Amino acid sequence: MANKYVVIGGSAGSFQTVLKLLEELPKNYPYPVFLVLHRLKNVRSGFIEALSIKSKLKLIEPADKDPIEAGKVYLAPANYHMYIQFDNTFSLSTEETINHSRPAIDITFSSLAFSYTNKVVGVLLSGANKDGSLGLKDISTNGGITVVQDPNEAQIQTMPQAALDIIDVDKILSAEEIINFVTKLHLRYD
Amino acid sequence: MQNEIKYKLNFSDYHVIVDFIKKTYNYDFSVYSFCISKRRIELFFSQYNVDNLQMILSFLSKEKFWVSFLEQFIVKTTELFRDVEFWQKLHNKYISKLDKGTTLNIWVPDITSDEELVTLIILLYELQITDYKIIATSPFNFVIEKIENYKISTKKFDISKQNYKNFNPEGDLEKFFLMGKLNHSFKPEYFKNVRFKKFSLISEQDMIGVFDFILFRNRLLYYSSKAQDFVLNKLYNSLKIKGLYAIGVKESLRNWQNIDKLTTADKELNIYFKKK
Repeated sequence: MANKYVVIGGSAGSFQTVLKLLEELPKNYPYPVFLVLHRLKNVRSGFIEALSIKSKLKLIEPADKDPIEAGKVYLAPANYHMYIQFDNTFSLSTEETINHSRPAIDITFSSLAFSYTNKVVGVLLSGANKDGSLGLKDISTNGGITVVQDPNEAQIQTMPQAALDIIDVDKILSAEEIINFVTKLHLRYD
Repeated sequence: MQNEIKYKLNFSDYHVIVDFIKKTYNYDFSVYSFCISKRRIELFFSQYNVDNLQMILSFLSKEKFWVSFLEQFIVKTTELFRDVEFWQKLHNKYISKLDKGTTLNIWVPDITSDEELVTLIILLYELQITDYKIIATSPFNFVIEKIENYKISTKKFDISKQNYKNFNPEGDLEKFFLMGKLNHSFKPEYFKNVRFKKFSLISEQDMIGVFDFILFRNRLLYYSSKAQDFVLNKLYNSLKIKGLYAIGVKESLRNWQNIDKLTTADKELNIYFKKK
């Protein structure tokens, strides 16, 4: 089991931030990182390759019931919701879309909050709908750390603003500050 | 179903509900994947503003309500021709390997809404394969009754139409349907080689038959790891030697004890043949 579970949700306007974050994450990063990014459902190839270009960590699109390992980045597969189970495995589903999205950020955030409570660090980036805010609220309620991209800086502020409307988050940061915070998380908490 | 959850279940609540269902209806919910199952129970009861365990049990004790719960609990399939590459491979390569001039026997277990079954029927029609029999099974009678009158919403149809266009740019998906305003009905004549039967992969002891092809995509997901093993063994035993077996692109056989008894035909699309 890892000491922290880092989960990042993003939609329109978040790709460059995620790309930069992956570039900056050190090779020996001690936590698993989960990415839930809204993406085209019928395009299964190309996206993970694009994200992997500068990443020092291995990016994986997990299959159902795959185990979770620290130091790997897991990308929610296109057209599947991604749950994180308490036995340190993934559970994927083809349930209804949420906010027109599958994968939905809410599902991954909420399942992590339930399974790993105060070990979860949830980050919500730029996006054009409200997905992620309810899940981030669950992370907050269960004692995890909540971070939202500053809406004034986000390319599209709907998603981070929706979270700020319902949660008293731990941090409101710029994209650069988020990258700095996540990449140095282990120096602060381990 | 809506998204906001009114009452969140803890482990203890969940197990009480599973035990209650087993005791009241002799149905084993413990075979389902925990996280998914928990959330679907929570979502269902959120519609009724239920905010405690006793209310959930009280609702579930009413048989009429139980059926309505099951109807929403089971996950419907998403669209026709989901994962177009899979259907293309099946069309261009694998079904022809099975077509030996005798009746093709196919099993589609655990149907729900069921776009996979309808897609398969369209694919066989386009391959001009007419000598086939499909048995489509579900543990629930209400599913079978609905599937026999399969309707697709216009929204789902539009998504499916796009998929179908990628599958067969020259084809016309509408010709298989009686087009309505809100829904389109699959023409009943295309179901003539399909038999629907109530059958539970978990509780039935007997085999349902031996098949050339078992289509079981995106259903394994909803079972727990332990139940997956049980289900996979049952399906394996129902497959003929050299029979074709397909699961969803993000499902996995890697924890299954008998994986070495299958030959991988397409790793990415999760298509397998049973070894001799």
